[in-house]
Amino acid sequence: MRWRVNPVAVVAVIAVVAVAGCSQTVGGAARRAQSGVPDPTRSYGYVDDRCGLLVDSSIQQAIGADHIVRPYSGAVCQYVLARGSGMVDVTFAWYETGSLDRERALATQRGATITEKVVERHQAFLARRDTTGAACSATAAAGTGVLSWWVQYRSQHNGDPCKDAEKLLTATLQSDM
Amino acid sequence: MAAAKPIWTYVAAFCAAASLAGCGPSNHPATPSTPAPPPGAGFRSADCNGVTDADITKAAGSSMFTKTVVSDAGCFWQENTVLGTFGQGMGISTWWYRGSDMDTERTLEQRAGRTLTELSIDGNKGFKAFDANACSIYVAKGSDVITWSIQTMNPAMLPDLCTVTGQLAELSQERVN
Repeated sequence: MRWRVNPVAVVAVIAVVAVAGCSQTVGGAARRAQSGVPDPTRSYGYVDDRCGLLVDSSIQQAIGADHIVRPYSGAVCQYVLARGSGMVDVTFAWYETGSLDRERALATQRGATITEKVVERHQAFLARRDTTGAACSATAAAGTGVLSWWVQYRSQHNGDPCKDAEKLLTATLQSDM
Repeated sequence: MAAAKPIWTYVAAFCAAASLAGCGPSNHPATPSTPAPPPGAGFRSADCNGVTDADITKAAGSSMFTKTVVSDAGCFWQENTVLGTFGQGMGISTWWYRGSDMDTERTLEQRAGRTLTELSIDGNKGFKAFDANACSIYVAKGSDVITWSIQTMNPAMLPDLCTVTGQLAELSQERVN
């Protein structure tokens, strides 16, 4: 009897052996894993023209705005939106080695009203602080660090910007890349 | 089996590549994990990284900017002569990255085609990135980064853009470093 070997299976076996055999080789600097996040190694950094994994049109849609510009992009992204006759300001921050505790302490020290939350299985908080308008940030421990969406209704003092901030945070944490 | 030969060729090539790239000795020696910086090793907390509206007016040589964003990530002063919706992104901004790698921003600025120059302010290392319409300054301390940035369509109405952000970055470092 002649052996019939499936070449695809052979490739698969070799690939498995190669991957398993080499799995001890790890490069890069060690980084403290966050306890309790469902996605401990994920990055939410700026990539493919997206901040927090969201394209500009998704942000515009979530806010219900007529127009959006993104003057600043990087670990922090800044947006200016026009909605009806008003302006909405949005910032996104991804601190890859940041922590939720540091963010909460800072928001508290600056006089924000904090509401603890769990958003998409991530420990999070809302921080309402009105400065140049009604404003609120939604911040979550995620991936290797912490991410935050901040929404302001510019020069306005009513409405609930926390709802919009949480909506953006949820969209980022739900994103499948 | 006419296809057998090419597939075995691929298998052989894969094995060779795997043993060379994957299973060879690692050229990334295991770096000892650096201890987390002690609390307080980053910058001190102040809204707008310690800079006031009066500082902005002084650095810009005129009061052509209005503060429209004060968030925990930072601040934005919008240029008053907003030309259409595109102009909504023009102005001066500062951001505080609480746990971030400055090299990520360096790569983004290089990709945007800006000229980069290394610098040091108040003992902290950083760089500036500029073109005819923008100048950003980045300064790192511990795992924190602070940026000062100006973007304008009217550079002729302003002092040298890097002089403006340079002054603001220095004032800011005096107050939060």
